[in-house]
Amino acid sequence: MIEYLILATILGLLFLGIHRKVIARVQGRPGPPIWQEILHTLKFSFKKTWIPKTGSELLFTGIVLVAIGIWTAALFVVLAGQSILLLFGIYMVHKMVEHGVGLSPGSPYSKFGGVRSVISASSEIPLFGAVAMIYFFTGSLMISDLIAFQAANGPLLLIVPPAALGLYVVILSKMPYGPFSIVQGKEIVSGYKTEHFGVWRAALDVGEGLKTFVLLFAFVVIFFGQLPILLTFIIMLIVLVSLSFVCATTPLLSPYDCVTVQILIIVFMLVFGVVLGVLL
Amino acid sequence: MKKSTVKLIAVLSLLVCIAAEVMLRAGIADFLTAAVLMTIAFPPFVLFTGLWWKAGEGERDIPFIGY
Repeated sequence: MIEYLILATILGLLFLGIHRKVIARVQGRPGPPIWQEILHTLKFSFKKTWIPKTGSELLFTGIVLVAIGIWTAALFVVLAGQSILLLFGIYMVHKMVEHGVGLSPGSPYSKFGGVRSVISASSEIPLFGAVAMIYFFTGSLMISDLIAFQAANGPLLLIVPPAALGLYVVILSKMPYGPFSIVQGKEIVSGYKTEHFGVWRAALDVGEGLKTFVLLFAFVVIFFGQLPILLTFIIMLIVLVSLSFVCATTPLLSPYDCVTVQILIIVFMLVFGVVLGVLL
Repeated sequence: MKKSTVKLIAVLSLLVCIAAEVMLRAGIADFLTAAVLMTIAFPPFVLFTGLWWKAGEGERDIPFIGY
């Protein structure tokens, strides 16, 4: 199982590199090589590292461990075919990670990132809508049951497209350089990660790679079912490239606009759910 | 934290990761047990290996807090 963990970390970082490359190409720039995020992680792990004087030592260190731990657990949740609710819970803990990483060093830039992470909690509303719709149509939240359901009835993507849209928005809100990436906006340097440099940043990047892989992998398993591994990776790549196009062509929204857009999406999902509920 | 302590934590967490993998393959532990062990041990292994390589032991710095 350790091979899955290493593969997921490397592929996740590679996906983030592809994400940057696609954004650059869409914007008419050459962009970095696709393995740039892997190099970044290695580069940071060779930098001299210490804890800022103003930082809370326990929180500053502990939150980095939590950042990797939760997405390690999330990977095993998906691999074991466990409940989507566990993924939902892990996603909530990730909010605490953003908040904790932002508040622990005592820098105003990282603090702003942490505070914005609270505002961006509205991205959980589409996630909640997606989970509710999946349960409404399949009668289960276990990933193994969803795989069996799709083997008999076809991909959930075609049965409940608004749920797929909801999860897509959730993943979009976690992608760097996206319209909802207010926690890492450039006007606050690197957002909540500003003061986590050197080995701290390398470890956070490992968590980021795992998170990217797990979210894309979960999206494919939940809405396409169990496919051959190569096909799964290809669909993950297609979803990623579509996300990169959205990120490349949309500006960073203000925190309040983020909330508005995400609430509009949940309203659309609710209307769709009610209409289908009445029709069925 | 002393470099020797950091190294000890890195080595111990690596041993737990290896033990979880071996126990799963040998059928001694089920997937859930191995996953829990791996989830606990993998983060300190990543972080403390890096710290063992490069953590500074000198004077700490104050972050930039604006003009």
